[in-house]
Amino acid sequence: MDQAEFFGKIEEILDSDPGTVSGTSVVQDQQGWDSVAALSLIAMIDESYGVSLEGTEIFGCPTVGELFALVQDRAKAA
Amino acid sequence: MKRAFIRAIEYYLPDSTLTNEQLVERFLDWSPEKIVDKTGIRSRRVVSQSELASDLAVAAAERLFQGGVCDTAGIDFILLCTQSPDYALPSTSCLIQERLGIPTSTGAYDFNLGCSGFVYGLSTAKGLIESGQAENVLLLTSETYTKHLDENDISVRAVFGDGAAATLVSGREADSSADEQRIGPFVFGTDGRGAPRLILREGSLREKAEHPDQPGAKLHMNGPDIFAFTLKQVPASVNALLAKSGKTMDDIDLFVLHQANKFMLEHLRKKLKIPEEKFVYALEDCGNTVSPTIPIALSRAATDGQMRSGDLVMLVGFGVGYSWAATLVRWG
Repeated sequence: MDQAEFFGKIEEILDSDPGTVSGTSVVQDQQGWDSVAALSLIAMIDESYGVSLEGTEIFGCPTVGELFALVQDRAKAA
Repeated sequence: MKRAFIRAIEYYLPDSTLTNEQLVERFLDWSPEKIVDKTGIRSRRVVSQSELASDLAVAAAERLFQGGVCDTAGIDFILLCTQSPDYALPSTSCLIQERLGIPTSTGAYDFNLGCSGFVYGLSTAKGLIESGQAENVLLLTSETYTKHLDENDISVRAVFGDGAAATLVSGREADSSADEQRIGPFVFGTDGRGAPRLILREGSLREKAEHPDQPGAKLHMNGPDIFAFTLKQVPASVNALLAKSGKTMDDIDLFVLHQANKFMLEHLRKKLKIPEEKFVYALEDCGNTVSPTIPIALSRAATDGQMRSGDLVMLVGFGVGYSWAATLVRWG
C-alpha cells in the first residue's frame, strides 16, 4: 500500500472527503477523530501491514506522513 | 485419577436495562446505530443502587441448584472472581457461603481478576479437583462494573454491563478408553505494564496514600492501547495453546473469547481466520460483563445448539492487568 492509499484509508475511517488527509495532517485534529476512529486506525494498520501500534505510538507521530513512515519501518522490521 | 469437567453453567443478569437510545439522550454526538455498529451492543443490564456482586452471584448459583445438578451440601469449594466485592474485607465468598447455606466445611475465597478471570478460575478448580482437595467447586464470576463508571464517559458506558455466572466444576474418574483431560492444558500471561491502561483508582489505598484529599478517579480505560495489546497477545495465546496441546485450528470446534466488544472480536476472528460459525458472540443484549462473559457465552451456545456435547472449545480471556489466559474444554 502506497502513501496515497494509506491516506485514503484514513479518510474512510474519518468519513471525510478524498484529499482531506495529507502528509502534514495531524490525525487527532481531523474532523471525525475519536476513540472509535483510533481503534479503526489500529485495526487498519494491523490488517494492511501486520503491525500492531499502541494508541500512544500513534499519538506520538506529529503528522500522518510520519505515522506512515513509522508503519513502514515496523512492517520491514517484522 | 479424577478428571475435572464443567458440569453445569447458569447465569443471572439484573433486571434494569440501559439501551443505546437511553445513552444517546446524554451523548448527543452519538446515535444508537453508531454504538451498535462499533460495539455490537444494543443494551446492557445494570444493577440497582442496592444490588451488589454478591446478590448477582447468589442469584446465579440458586439457578444452578434449582436445576438439580447438585445440592448445596455437595459443594466443597467456592471460588469467586470479582473486582466489585461487597467489602474490601471479608472475602465476599464467605458472605455467599452463608447466604447459600453451603456447609461450613467448604473452602472459599475471592480472587481479583477481570476479563481473564474465568479461565484462571477453571485452572484453580481443576487443580483442586485433580489433586484430590475438592470434589465440587462452585466457580462464581460476578461483576457490577457499572458502579465503577464515570457517568460522563461514553467509551466505558457503551461497553460494560453487569452480570454473574455460576459454573459447577466436578470430577469424574478417568475412563481408560478415553483418557483425555476435559479442561486444559492452559497458557497464561501477565504484563503489569498495562496496569494504567485499565484502572480504578477510586477508593484505593494507593490513592489515599498519594492524594489524601481527593476521592480518586472512576474507571479509566485506554481503549486503543488495550486493543493493540489484544492484537498481539490473543493470537499469540491461541498459537501457544495449539502448540502445547498438539491441536490444530481445524481440531477446535468452537472459539469462545472474552466478549470485550464486537469490533475487537470481529477483528480478532478475521486475524485468526476463524469461520463465523465457529465463533460465539453473546453481548448484544448484555454488553461486556467482564469475567462472566465467557460462561454466559458458553451457556447460550449450549442452549441454542451452536455448541454440542463432545465439542472441543477454546476459551481465551484477556484484559485488565494486563492478564490473559487460554484453555481447551471438552464440552459435555
